[in-house]
Amino acid sequence: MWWGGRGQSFNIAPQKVEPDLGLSGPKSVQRTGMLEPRSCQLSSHLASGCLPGEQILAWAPGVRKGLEPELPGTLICTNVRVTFQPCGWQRSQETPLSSEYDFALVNIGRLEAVNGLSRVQLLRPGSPLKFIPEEILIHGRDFRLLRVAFEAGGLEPQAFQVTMAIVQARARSSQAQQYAGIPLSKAGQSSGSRKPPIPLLETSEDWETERKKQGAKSWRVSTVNERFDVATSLPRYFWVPKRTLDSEVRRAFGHFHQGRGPRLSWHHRGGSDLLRCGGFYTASDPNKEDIRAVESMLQAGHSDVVLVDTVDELPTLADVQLAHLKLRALCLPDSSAAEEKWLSALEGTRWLDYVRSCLRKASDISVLVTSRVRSIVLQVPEARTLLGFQSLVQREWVAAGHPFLTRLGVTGASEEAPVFLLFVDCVWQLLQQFPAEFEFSEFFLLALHDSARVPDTLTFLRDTPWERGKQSGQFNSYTQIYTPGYSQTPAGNSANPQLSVWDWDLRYSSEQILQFHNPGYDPEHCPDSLLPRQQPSFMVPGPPNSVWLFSRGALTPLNQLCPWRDSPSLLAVSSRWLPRPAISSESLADQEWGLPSHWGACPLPPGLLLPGYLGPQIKLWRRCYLRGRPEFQGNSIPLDTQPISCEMRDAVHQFKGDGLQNSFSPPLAA
Amino acid sequence: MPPGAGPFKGGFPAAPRGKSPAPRARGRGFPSAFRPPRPCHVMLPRQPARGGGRRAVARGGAAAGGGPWRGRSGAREASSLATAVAPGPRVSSMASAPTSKYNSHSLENESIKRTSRDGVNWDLSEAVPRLPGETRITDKEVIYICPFNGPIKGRVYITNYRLYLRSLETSALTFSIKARSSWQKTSYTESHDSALILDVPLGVISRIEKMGGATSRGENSYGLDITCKDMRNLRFALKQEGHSRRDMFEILTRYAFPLAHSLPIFAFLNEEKFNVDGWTVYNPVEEYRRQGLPNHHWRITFINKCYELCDTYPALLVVPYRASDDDLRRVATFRSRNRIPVLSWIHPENKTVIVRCSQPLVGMSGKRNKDDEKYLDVIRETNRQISKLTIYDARPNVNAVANKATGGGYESDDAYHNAELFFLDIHNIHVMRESLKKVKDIVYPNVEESHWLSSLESTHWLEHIKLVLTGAIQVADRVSSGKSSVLVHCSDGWDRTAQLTSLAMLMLDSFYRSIEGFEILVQKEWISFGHKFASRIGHGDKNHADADRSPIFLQFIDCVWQMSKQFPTAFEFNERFLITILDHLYSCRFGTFLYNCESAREKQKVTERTVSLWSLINSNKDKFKNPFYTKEINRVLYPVASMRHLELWVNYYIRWNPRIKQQQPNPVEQRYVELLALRDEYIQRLEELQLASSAKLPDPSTSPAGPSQMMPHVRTHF
Repeated sequence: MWWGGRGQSFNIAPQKVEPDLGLSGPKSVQRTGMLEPRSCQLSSHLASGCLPGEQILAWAPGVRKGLEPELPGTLICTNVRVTFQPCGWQRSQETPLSSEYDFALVNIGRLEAVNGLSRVQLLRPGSPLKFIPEEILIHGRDFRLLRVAFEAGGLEPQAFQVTMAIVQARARSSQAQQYAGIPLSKAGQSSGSRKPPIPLLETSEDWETERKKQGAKSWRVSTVNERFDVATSLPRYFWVPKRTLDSEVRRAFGHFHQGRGPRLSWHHRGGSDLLRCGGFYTASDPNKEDIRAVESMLQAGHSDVVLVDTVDELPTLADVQLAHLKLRALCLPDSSAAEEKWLSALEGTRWLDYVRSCLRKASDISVLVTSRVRSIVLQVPEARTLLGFQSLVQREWVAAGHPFLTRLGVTGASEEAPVFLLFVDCVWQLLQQFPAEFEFSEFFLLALHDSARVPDTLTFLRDTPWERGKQSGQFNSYTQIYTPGYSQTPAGNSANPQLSVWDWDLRYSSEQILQFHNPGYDPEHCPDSLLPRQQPSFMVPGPPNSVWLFSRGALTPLNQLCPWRDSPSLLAVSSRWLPRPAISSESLADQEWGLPSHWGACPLPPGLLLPGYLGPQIKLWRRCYLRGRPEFQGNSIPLDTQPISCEMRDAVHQFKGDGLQNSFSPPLAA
Repeated sequence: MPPGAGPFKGGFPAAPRGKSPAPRARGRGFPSAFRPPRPCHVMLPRQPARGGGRRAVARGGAAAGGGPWRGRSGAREASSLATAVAPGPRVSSMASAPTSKYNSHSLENESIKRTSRDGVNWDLSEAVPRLPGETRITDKEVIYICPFNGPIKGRVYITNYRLYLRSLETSALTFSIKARSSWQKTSYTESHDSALILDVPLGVISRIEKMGGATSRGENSYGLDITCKDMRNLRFALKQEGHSRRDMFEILTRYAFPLAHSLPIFAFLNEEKFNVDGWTVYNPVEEYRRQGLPNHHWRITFINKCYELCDTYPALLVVPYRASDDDLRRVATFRSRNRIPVLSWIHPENKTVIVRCSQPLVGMSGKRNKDDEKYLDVIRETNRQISKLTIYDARPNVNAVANKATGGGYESDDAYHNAELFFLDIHNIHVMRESLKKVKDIVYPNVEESHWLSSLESTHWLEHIKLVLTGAIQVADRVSSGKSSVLVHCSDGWDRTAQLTSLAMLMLDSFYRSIEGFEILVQKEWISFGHKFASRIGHGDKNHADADRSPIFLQFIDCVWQMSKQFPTAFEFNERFLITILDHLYSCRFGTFLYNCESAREKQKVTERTVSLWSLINSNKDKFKNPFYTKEINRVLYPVASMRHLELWVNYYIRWNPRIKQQQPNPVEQRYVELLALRDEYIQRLEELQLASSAKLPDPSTSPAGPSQMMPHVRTHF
């Protein structure tokens, strides 16, 4: 035996650090079997909750601390996750993953072992664990915390084993170049015939339906990128002006960064369109026809075009990443930040600042409604429903090629930046300010936030639609197309292509999913805003082909749309189009419009939510970021009115349904 | 429940909002006859108070039915009610007033609309809301220099109660106000003319200054600058000719600071009538009886009946059974201002107590008093479970030591063997005043933009809140889990002590979390035990720089708000209740907060000559109810007093900023109220139907979903 009494020093058993110890290597199987015989039946019991291909590496009985009540159970480390299985708790077949007890290995941000007063941080394999842990703390990168105390009495070796197993499994998973999704299959579901919970926008029909829904009549679905040869990061289909030919599209897109040319994002029923595109490719030298193509695409039949540069005033990727890291450090339960310095420390992370600037920009843009954005504001009433919001994320983030994998740092690339989490935070701020306008609840946002770290579906696991498609083997139906890399796709360990993050029932019980609905949402609240209101003032014809640059809260006329036409040198100097206009600290919404006078001062359309972004209005998402804190863990967590509201709503619905209409409908009039 | 006994008896008041112009489609899916009644309880026109039962409340000259306030149209009645419930000084343009989206408020709205629509034809005196007993003094044309929208021309009306301004250029009125409020709040756009309205009770004014002199040139630089006690300033520009500024200054000074001009405070002129008498809310004997007192260890004494033992204590006190009146008198000599240790609250199960008092008069020489020591020991012995009495000195240690120089001090270990002393580090009234001043600096008129959090931190306001809450949590925890009796004092025992005892009681005793319970708590721990409201607020007093002023009570209400944020289902009252209390803390419309102590109030016959704030609140309780309230008995609330979980009360401190204004009423609460009403309606309907069907069907058990089956299920949650 290589373990001894308490207080002695241990080194990791040599065979464990062997690099060739594959996930499915025979040794690990052997190791599992090495556990005492008395644990065998237990082990097989534990294994019943395993996913195909998942192996239990080590386990130890323990008690989950912190949260009330304390739960006895078993801490299990497998090759994909760490999970705590409470005694008597049976993983249901329908929800193979648990949002409450599972910690995906990639999600583990910090691991601590505690014995008496000593506390050691462990993450690197090879760092010696000098004692048998009495308790371990697993800090998730999603701000969750799992605290397990091990039972005493002859079981210390197992505590040691499981701790070390976690350390190594974590190390292996971060070494893996591309994280393989957890293989999942949904019981009782024949793949193929299944309809995804929301349109995944992988077929042109989906796009066409969506276009019609928005009423974008002068736009069409372009199939120019069907083979991902225009841009691998773009979806296979997107919307372009009706009059623009596919060849023009191809031409124009070549002059944009990564081929991400201008395309329709959202069509306002008043007639305005929201377009998005990457930056102009500074090195390209377009000819006249190309310029015309770009112009006609940007103009898309409108007389006025406003360009918004999102680089301007918005945090850079590095900023966002740094802020998020700082925030995470600050929110650790043992953060060194002094209590009385909490507010300035929070300010120091600049996270809230960035949330603020995003909201502000988005609010300006939604006033303008003709531009491109990185984070889209929820000005569409429909997008505020649960379903609508999921479609929005699918379209604007997933299908539009947000590099989730890179940004969330799974690949360890330098461009890690939780921009998506920043977006989720922004939406939470909106929800705080307009609690009755959203069908989804804070719990839904929390689930979305967490799911970015759970490698169970392809939705957030690939950088581009192309990679997603490649992985899911979707190209089988298009086999005549050469797709680089397709042949190398390892068969077998791919995630189920049929499943997306929107299949919430993989990880959440039906009671939890019920909580995704905001009981305060009043669908009757904004019926007017759903109706298309003609906004004639938006259509006031201005001077033909006027182009404006929106920056720093002011509009500047541009005499040209593309930076190249007359003076290509302009771009050589700066990536901006124009010298900055005078800095105005007031945002557009505060000025007397700031819009060109000929546009007229039209009242803002109803249904538009313009968030407040003053300092006091931007709040810390405590329920998310402070989850690991002792006060939350200790169940003095502030109560929420949500559950009782839900009960109330259900009770009322029950009345409405059963009580009145079914049983007693005839005598009602009496 | 027999049919018709529910809150909506007699069917739904045939749509009190029958011709409601509300544009929204609602009640889809079921017959229009069953449209949910909007929560109409709020603003239904009330029957004029008549009859014996209510007579008791009627005071003053206005005999029921014959007073000047009777016989007006329903709209007037409603409008007086509307002002009654939202009396607070508030800047609001029409568009930012609660829109008619929620019918419960449309009446209120309508009355205002009517005012503005017909304003021109009305007698000017009618254009201003007036309370019974309120008289108009003057009106003047001024330019209101709005910090958010720039100068606005308007007419200001001054009465003996309020300053009321209405902008004149209704049509030209700042597109931006209209637009902004509709952007900021809701998607709702108002089409009617909107006027900016400012309705400020004069009691709120802390200081009036003249700005600019005869020689000043610039536009709008000549006028008045008014500093208010509720976190804002008002600036008016006036014409230099014709002494208009001098007149306005003198009139305002006279009526805002009546004490300096030997005029009565408005509360004594107010002739409002309510159908509930707020003065009967607190009856000390009843409250102590509720706590199970007197018992074997504690007795009620009338030794202070004529305020001879202690002039700042109430007449009725609860003291240990074993302490004689002579003992009490001897103890009084050793406690600052004779404020001896008396019982505030007793734990219903373990019988530990919270006792309050002032500091012992130890002095530099370290005096001792055997009677005081014995008295504390007697208090300790009333609870046999633990060997020590816990003393919480609210002050920082150094302050307690410094107080020895002026004859005060704290209980030393050698003199009080059986007591443990802890200091709670809460700072004095001057520190709190300066801290709040800094808060005002960063929120008014402009909210500090770039470094909001660190600016907020530098005010230390939340830190003080945290210390007060932490202290109260310790007291509550010691009593509840530590099973030890607790004695709380600071220097005089009327500021920090009141904060600590009342907050601890709020945490321990769920009764105080109801509307009436909270009123009793304020009435008992603050008003009757001599928190010096007159000095701390400076009612009717012109000395704005008085060092005795301090926002101690505001700080307490802020702590309550923090608790209600953390426990949204634990309190029967809502945020509006707290804000209304704070508004009338200054307004001088009610007698509730006037004077420093019970003896002074008795001398002035406050309960006979003025109206209680609780009359206003209790006669319109629905408006102040938290729909999420779930009654719980015996649950101790321990809020998290960490900077990570405390927030600035934006809806109070920054409420004048139109950009920060939140949706009022809170749409989620509103929605919940609607659901509650729906549920009640369904229950009632179901009962009616069941009755109807059981009349037809002889066997009631065949009825498939009778209320007997449905209701228990639904009711369990509430």
